[in-house]
Amino acid sequence: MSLTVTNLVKTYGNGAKPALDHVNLVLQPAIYGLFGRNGAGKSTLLGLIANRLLPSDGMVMLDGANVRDNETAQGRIYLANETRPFLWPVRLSTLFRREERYYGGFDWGFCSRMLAEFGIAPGMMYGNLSLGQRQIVQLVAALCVPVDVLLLDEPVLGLDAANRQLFYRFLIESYVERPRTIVVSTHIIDEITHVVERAIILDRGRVVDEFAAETVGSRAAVLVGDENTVDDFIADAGLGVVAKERMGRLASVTVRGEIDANDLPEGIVASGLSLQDYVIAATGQSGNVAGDVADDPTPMTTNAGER
Amino acid sequence: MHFDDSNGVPLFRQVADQLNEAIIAGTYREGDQVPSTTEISSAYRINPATVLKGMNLLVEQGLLEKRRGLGMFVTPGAAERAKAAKREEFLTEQVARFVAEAKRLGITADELADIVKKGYRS
Repeated sequence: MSLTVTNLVKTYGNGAKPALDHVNLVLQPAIYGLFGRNGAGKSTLLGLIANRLLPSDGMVMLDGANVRDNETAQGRIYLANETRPFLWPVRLSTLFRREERYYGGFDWGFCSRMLAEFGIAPGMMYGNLSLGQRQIVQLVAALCVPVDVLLLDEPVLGLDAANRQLFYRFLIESYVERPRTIVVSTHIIDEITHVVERAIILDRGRVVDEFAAETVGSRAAVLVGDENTVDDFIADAGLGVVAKERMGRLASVTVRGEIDANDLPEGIVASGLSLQDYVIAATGQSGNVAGDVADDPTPMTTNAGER
Repeated sequence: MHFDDSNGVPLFRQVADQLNEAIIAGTYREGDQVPSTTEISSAYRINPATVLKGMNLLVEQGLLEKRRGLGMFVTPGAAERAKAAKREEFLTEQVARFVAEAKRLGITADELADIVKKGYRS
């Protein structure tokens, strides 16, 4: 199973800056985290993969077949995004049966176990649920359909902390039961750091990095120490600076790549970045790692061959 | 189990370390079955690939063995081997770091030896 995104472009309206700008990705069975600032293009990317939006250019292929106007491929892809209002009264079981018919299966056992743990009675009317509960129902449905590509756009937005944890647990259970491509977009990066196997960072419509999440500590480091000492070390070692903060004579500078503690001069302390801090550094507005490619000879887009 | 992001130790290694400690402590004895990858990953909400990588590290070290269709089990003599490996790591890596830090702080070898001896007596 492989999902390939090739030169995908999406422009809303004539002359507008593209919301998605020549995105290329190859997704394998794994849980992916999709990260980026508001308006970076995350929902657009997921909507295009799920064929809810039409690309301005480029294409999405599932196992070599273009997903556009392709019902078979679309039946293998599920997108859960903002909750849909239902204008007529509908029972949860009716909603689930509808998904079962469209996607050709439904894990009823897993469904009732999840609903029980979330404290939602399966016989309830959808309209009587709170916003958060509606979102949970949608996530439950998403985890129960037998699709090969599961796209979850901000799945935990309306969930309380306990329910978020419960959701991450079920997400993993579902993945173990049926390994497939799962893409989760979220802004609560710290919570999902251990859940995702790979991370994709979008910035202003472009993929600025894609990597194994556990290697984040070796993608960038923060050097803290006397400003001159730190600057000299960075210049000598030829490191790329991502961000710099100063407090009196003490500087903390974020640089690309891994720092071997043995190479550090006395007085400089190096530490790796958390996934969340790395995403912030990679999508910051000034001097970021995404940067303007023109004046940045080593953008952080090396994603080949480290899988 | 408890996982810490701030100590710079990769997560799969933390998984391995904690199982390793549990084997040394006798929580899991020779021939005991350890929790499955699925159990650990869903209970601690850690990607299964990461948990598996940690488990495989212990398989490589001969502390765990895979029994087809059954799960992972603690190998005979695992506790002693784990302890020996831990000793080795302590004597080479941790002591070296400890001494380097003492030197940086201007503590002499004699002063350090005295403190170590005192620690042994208490």
